[in-house]
Parts: sequence; C-alpha cells; structure tokens
Amino acid sequence: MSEGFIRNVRVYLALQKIQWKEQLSYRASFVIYLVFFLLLALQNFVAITIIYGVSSGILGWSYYQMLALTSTATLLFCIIVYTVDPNWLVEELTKGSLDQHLARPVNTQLALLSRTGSKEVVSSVAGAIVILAYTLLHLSFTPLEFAGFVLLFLTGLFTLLSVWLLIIVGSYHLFKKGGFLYTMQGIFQTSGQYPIGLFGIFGGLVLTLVFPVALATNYPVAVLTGQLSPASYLGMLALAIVIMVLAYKGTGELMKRYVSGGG
Amino acid sequence: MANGYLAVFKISFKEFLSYKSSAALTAALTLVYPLLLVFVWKAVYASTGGATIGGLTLNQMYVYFFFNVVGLLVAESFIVWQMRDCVKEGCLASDLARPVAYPKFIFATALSQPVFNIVFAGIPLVALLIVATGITVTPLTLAMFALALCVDYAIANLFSFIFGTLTIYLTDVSGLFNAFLGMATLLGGGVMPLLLFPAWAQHVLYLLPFQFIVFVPSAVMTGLITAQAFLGFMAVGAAWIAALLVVAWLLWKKARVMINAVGV
Repeated sequence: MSEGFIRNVRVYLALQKIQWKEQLSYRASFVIYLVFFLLLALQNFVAITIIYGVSSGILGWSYYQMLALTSTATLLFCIIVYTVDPNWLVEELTKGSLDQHLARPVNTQLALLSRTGSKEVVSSVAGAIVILAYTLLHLSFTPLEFAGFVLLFLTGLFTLLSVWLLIIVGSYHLFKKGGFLYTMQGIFQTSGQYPIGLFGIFGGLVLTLVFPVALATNYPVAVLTGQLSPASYLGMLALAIVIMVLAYKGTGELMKRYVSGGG
Repeated sequence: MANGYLAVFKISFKEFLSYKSSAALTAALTLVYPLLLVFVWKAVYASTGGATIGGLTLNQMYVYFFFNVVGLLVAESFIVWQMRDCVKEGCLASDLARPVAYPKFIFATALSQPVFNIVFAGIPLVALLIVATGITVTPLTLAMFALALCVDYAIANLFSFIFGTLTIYLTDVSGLFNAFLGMATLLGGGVMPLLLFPAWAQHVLYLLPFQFIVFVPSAVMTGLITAQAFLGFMAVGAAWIAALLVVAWLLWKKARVMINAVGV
C-alpha cells in the first residue's frame, strides 16, 4: 500500500518535473505568463473593492470577510487550473495520446492529473496567497479555527478535483469534446467567490453536493468568521470525504470503459 | 475565390453541427453566468437599500447582465484553439498549402461558431429578453445593437487570431489566452457595468477594446448609451479594429516563415 503510494508520488513528481522543464525551455514567454497571471489574481480583489465602494456590501458580509472568500476561491481555482486543463485532457483521451501514460504501473487518475494543467498559473497561486494573507490580518480568529480552515480547504480541494475529473472523463465519454468545460469552470469559480446564501436552497445544494465548490470556499471561510459550529464542521468534513470517494469510484468505473487509442 | 471561403464555412458549420450537443451545452452554460451576477447584484441592492447604484436601477442591471450573454455568444471564437492544435500537430503547413489565404481560411472556418450561437441562442434570447424585461426597443436601438455586435465579433476574433499566431512562438497560449479573457471580462464590463468604476478608470476603460465585447452591446440595450454617444464608441471601435488588423497582419507575416511541415 505504502510502496504503491510512494511510487505514485514519485511518478507524479517526475511528470511534473518534465512539464516544468518543458515550460522553462521558453523562459521569456514563461516570465510574461507569470506577470500576466499575477495580475489575474488581482482581478477579484479589484471587483470586490469596487462593489464595496459603491454599495453597502453583500448579505451583511464585511469587506474583509468577502475578500477572504474571494481570495480562497481564487486560490482554489488557480490550483485546479495548475493541475488539469479540462479541454486538453478530453482531447488527449480522444486522440489516445495518454495511452502510454495510462499503461504505466501508476494510479490511473493520478496519471490523468499529471499531463495537463498550466504551470505558469503558479504566480496566480502566489498572488492569491498574498491577498489571502493580507485579508486574514484583518480578521480575528484562533489558531484552532485557522487549522480548521486549512484542513477543510484542503479536503474540499481534493474533493473538487475528484469531482472535476469525473466530469471531464464523463464529457469525454458523452461528447468527445471539452470546450464547454472552460465555461463550466468559470461558472463554478464565480459562484465560489460569493456567499452560498445568494443562490437560494437549490443553488446551495448544487454547490455543496453536486459540484462541491462551497466545501472548499464558503464552509472553510465560515470557520474563520465563526459561522460554522464544530458539529457542522465535522459534518462538512465527512460529506467532503464521502463525495471524494464517490467521485473517485465513478471516474474509476468510467476509465474501465476507456478504449485504447481514444475509441 | 469568395465561393471557396463560403465552401470552407459550409464544411466547418456542418462539422460544428456534428458536435451540436457540446455546442448547445456551451451556449446554455453561457446563460448561467449572468444569472449568477443577477443573484449577486440583487443582494447588493438589497443591502444598500437605494433605488440606484451608479445611476442604474436593479432592473437595468438585470437587462445589462442578460444582454451580456448575447455579446459573449458573438465573441466566442475558436480560432486560437484551432491554431494551437494545428501548431502542435503540424497541420498548419498543410493548411498553408491550400489555394486560399490562411488568415481568411481560418476566419471562414471560425465563423461557424458565432453563426450557430446567433441562430440557435442569440436571436431567441434577444426576443425573449425584449418580451420578458419589457424594455422599449426602437428600430434604431436594434440597428445600434447589431452594429455593436459586429464590432464585438471583429475585435474578439482579431484577438483570437493574434493569440493563435503567437502560438507559433510560444507553442501553447491556452493559459495566457484564458487569463486574457478573464482580464477582458473585468475590464470590459462583464462583472459590472463600466459606470461603476471610479471616474479616472472609466476614462481609461472607454479607450480600451474590451468594452466592445460586453459593455457596449449591453449598454445600448439598457439605454445607457445614446445614439450620439454611440457614434463616438463606434469611432473608437473602428480605430481598434484597424489597429488590431495591422498587428495581426504584421505578426502573421513575420510568424509564418517559422512554420515547417512538422509544426514549428
């Protein structure tokens, strides 16, 4: 078990290293990308600042609480964009160019997550962390609440990655196309940036159970703002793990039907 | 020669229709985005308590965001993705060997997406929005809206072509182009009307090309732009189209010599 885990991590890191080397072979363009993506991290900061400049805010959330939520969502989606490019992955599956990687003795889903993704978005990740750190300085919380925030965020991140992979592989099976996944990603990114209460009961359920972006944004931030009781916290953590396992199994089942060479 | 491009468009449109479920899903998902912003702004207005924010009523805000969709549907362009794939796979060289000019060929191919979007989503949506929102629409408003969408299409596709051409130098511009789209959405009024930005920022944003992708078409239908002011916007739009054409032409002229049979 642990041997298999170590092998998987080793292969994943080796593939990441190759991707980084590929990216760094074009140093000038990589630097341009870094600067551009750093600016992108500021986008939501600007939007929230303008909204709070012309209004009294959203659903009683203070400016810094709102900023904590948007920067958490930005960080989350930057990590997802770093890890996987949905359209590219669907194309790789369709064309069969992943076959040689899938034949390796590593976890199939890890192999799927090792090949695409924009490495240059790392500057956005850094930017989002800086904005989040700045925001957290203006909020008061205990070290335990912060630890709870980090744990729920990371669990939510892995849950979302599992669900996202299920959707991507599902799109390959259903449409053989993945262009619309960018639009879908944008929708979930935007919805994760705002309080879940805005979207009503139905919207809230979708964002918690179907595409659980709220498990990595709204609920972790609610820990920092003292809006989530310990019992609810444990419930959300358990829910995230259940969804992660279900999505993982679902993707595994779909990948069993993958035909070498794209089908 | 024009028949050649028409044939290219017809083939591309048929090919596009073969993936109609994916295309329809993209168009449907595009509708969800303004719906999210409607929820957000409804809450902002409720918290603020005033009838207007930045001179806009909540109803105007709804109209604005829903007409944003039409602008986005027209602006959708797969030129950059097609060029990226061709550069990676080396098919650009064979495309260059065709008896048609490559830039015109790729524009004719990419026309299928906005045509599909306009016919199957844009026109029904505009009709539905006019009836549902009860806005007053004169023939002049519709003419201005149509013209604004033409400028929207030209600017979005020229940017797409420029980024597609950059692929020849950078190998893959997917991340960069997506980042550009995110930036253009904010600076072009996709998150909030430009009227809500600070005055100094508005002066700058009204000179940039991004406003033509969402702000100008939506603002025309929302009644935020008068016929007189519209002429000024179109003058800026025309200048941007001319500038982007020159950039696209120069870039393509320089980049095409780097292409060989196996890509770049």
